[in-house]
Amino acid sequence: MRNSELSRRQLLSFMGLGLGASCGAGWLPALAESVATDPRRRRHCILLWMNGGPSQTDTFDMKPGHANGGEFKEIATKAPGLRFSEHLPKLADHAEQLAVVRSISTAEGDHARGTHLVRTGHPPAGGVAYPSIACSLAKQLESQSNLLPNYVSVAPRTQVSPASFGPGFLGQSYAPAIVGGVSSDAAASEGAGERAMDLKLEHIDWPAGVDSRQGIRRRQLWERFQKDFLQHRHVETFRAHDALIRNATEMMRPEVRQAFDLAEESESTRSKYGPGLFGQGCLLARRLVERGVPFVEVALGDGLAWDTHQDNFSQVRSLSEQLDAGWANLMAELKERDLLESTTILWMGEFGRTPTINGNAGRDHFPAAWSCVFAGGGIEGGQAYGRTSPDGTVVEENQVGIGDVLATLCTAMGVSPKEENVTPAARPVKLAEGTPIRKILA
Amino acid sequence: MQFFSRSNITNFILSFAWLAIPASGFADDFSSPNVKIREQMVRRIDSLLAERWAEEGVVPAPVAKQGEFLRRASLDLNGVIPRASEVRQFLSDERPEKRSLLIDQLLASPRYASHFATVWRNRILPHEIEMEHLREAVGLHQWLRERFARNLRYDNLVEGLLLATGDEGPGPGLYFRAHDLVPEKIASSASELFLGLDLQCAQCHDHPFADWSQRDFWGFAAFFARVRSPDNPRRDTSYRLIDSGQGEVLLPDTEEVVPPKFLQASLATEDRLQSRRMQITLWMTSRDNRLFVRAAVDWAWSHLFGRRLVVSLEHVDELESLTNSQLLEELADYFVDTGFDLQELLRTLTNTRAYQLSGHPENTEANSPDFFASMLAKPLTPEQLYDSFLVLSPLRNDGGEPGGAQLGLGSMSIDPRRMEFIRRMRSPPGDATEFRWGTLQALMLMNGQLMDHLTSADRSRVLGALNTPFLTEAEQVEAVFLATLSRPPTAGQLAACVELLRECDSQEDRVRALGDMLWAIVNSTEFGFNR
Repeated sequence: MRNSELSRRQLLSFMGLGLGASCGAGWLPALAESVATDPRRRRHCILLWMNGGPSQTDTFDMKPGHANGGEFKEIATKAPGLRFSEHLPKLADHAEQLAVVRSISTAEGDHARGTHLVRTGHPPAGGVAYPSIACSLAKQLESQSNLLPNYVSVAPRTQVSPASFGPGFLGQSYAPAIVGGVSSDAAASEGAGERAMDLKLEHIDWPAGVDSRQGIRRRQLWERFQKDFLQHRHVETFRAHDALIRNATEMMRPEVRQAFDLAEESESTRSKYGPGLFGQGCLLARRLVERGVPFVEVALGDGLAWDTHQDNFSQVRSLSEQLDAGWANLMAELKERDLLESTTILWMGEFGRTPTINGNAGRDHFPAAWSCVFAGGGIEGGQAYGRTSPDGTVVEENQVGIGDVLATLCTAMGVSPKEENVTPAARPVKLAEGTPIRKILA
Repeated sequence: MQFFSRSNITNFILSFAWLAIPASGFADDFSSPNVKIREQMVRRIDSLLAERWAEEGVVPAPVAKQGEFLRRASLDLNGVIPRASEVRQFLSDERPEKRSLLIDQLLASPRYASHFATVWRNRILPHEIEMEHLREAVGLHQWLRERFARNLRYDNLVEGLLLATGDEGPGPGLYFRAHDLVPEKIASSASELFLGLDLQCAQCHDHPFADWSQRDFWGFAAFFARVRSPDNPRRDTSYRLIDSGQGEVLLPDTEEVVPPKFLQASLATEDRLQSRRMQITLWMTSRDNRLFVRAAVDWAWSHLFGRRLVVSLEHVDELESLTNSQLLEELADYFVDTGFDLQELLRTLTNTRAYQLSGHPENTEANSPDFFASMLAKPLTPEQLYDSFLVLSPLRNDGGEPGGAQLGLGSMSIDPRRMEFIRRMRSPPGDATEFRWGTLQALMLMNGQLMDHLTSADRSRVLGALNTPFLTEAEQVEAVFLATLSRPPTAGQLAACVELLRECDSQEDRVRALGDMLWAIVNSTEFGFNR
């Protein structure tokens, strides 16, 4: 009896939505309220993913004066003693919130295997389909009270190792909502190329050609058929289906679309972030974090952009410019909104690049000694952790593995890395197998 | 086709049946003594269940309505909903044996083979593997399909899979590759799939509540220790497997070699004529291997009924539900006696009253799903959804040639849109009766390309066909319901939908309104489940 009362109430609110779909003005304050009242909701993560493996020697672990150092100069940052490449000047202003880890050592030097290892914490192997750490963390921080997806990924380039970007055994319901990436669904339709810069969430609008009158008609008919069918059928799976379609319908509200609509930002704000997918993705990340999305990922570079086997310096220079504009503005705007403290940022690729420079002025794959950067919430910034040798080829101090890096990320976000996911074979798997790097945790 | 349509059997049957009848078991031979054996078994299943219902005071659900049964059997045996024309024919068919005839038709359809190939592929391989080994995954599907089409004996099917060498082309060898050719992974999977045993715990320690020791597990795994890739594989034959003369397993954390040993049985003897893999395969698939037979019938049962007969295949005589374990044992005997004929087993199970009960329980409280006193609902799988959409409204070919060529697979016929849809709509493996989509998946169905092809006035073939002056509004509405839900609309639904169509101010709007009805039905809970 209680069940049917509840469903009648849901039904009424749903009917109201169907008949006056534009009356959602009171929604954002309601959302803000839910963000404030849900303590787990306060934490966010933004993963800045560097496809192809970025060169640590030309960004955050420079070797000036050594033959391996290359063409770029080092500059001072706001943090005493911490120095970055000259092509990251804006980011240098935020160095007090950045912690560079210079002593990662991993064992996978192939793009596919490295990507899998770094993103899931496990080398690829048959049997268990490990979820990416992003899916695991989004699941930990998921909220039923938010209409927005728990994990939004901007322009991921997943071809190199699709499984590394997905939810694995957690199931597709924990898959990221992809924007600005050309999914096959979109690729099969026309104009896929034009849509690449359009960071809108897929499928939250009626397809082209369906007008609002039809939308109302569809919902009314659906309500009627649901009522006819469910009236006398108290079956749990049926109720689950009914509830999910209702939730999905809620996501078609204009406020959700609005969250992804960068046109709401001023031209000057948009241009500060840089014109590319990465910069605009960072802007979107800020909008989504403001609205309570726990996990956002922004990828930099088409294909394996950081895979600079040839002509390393001009490529890294141009990538650094994009990185600098997008990331620095993201830091600044999160700080302005008091969101940086609750948002952990991680900059990382699948491995680093050889400190030595090859005959094509390039750098090759190098998993033995490389860097990542943490920033923001839960992180003690203004420092570098670990040290590589003067030629950059070996870790000399505080070597860490990928499990330690991922455990640090979890801990910075207030999630215990010992939390477990359970495989279909009922085997528990920790979010991250490793020891958090205490020294860089706030 | 013209030649056959004079027969009194329906067009629908004929469009497929003549292809497969010569190969199918005894379906075509109604005078065969096997029919009597089958009928006896059908009655036996129903009487065993009925006894239990009586003991427990359970009132079974009424027998499913004709359309309900048609839709269920089509989805279970062919993986798609029936066409409107098939629903009409079935509803108007007055022969008392029409359900049995339908089952025969469905088992003889080419869709039977491809549906079961899909079901098996999903059973034996992790989903993710497809992305990395597309050519072999497609090859495996074809390999399975060909075997289900000629109704190869179940024991031979499993043998063929476990003894794959790659001589048969890319495909079945993927089963080993999916487990990285690691003996313990293969052992753990094969024992679960084909013996119904969960040995995973025994891999690391002696299981406190089971018969299997760690040594048993590794003795079993030792049989798979010599399956290898060829030493110098060429790229075009990298799917090949060989049985090497060397390779052992060690007890974890020791240097101790564990020799091959059959589960709960003797050590294997060194045999120069038979590879270790051959030895274990012959042992596993023997008609005397009770676990093998039980696992097969239990799988067939749960495929149809949405739930396993028993929780464990060992010690079935000690289980809580004696009825279900007895049922399992008798089905196992029957499966052996009928020559491991999978189609015959499915035919027998689907002919029972239990399978044909309504999904709508009369008495919810007393009704444990273990009684099988009403049919459990299973959410449509992504494959069933996609293929049913295509039955409703075939996709137009948008100029390009979707298929193998696009994915670098030459002439293999695959539909990349289907693959992508299935990948994204997939739920994690587990209970077939649980509904586990996320909202993004629901949105993809509601507003994605596939739905657009069905409900858009410009693109939908089914709307194109409905948009004709020869049909009244009532006939249009009826056709929409028959095509989707395999039943006519209720009086109330008919009236409401007809009124909606009459309110439309133009012919175009009327077509759009029909599209809206399709949208509402296809996103409804009634459509979303196989009940």
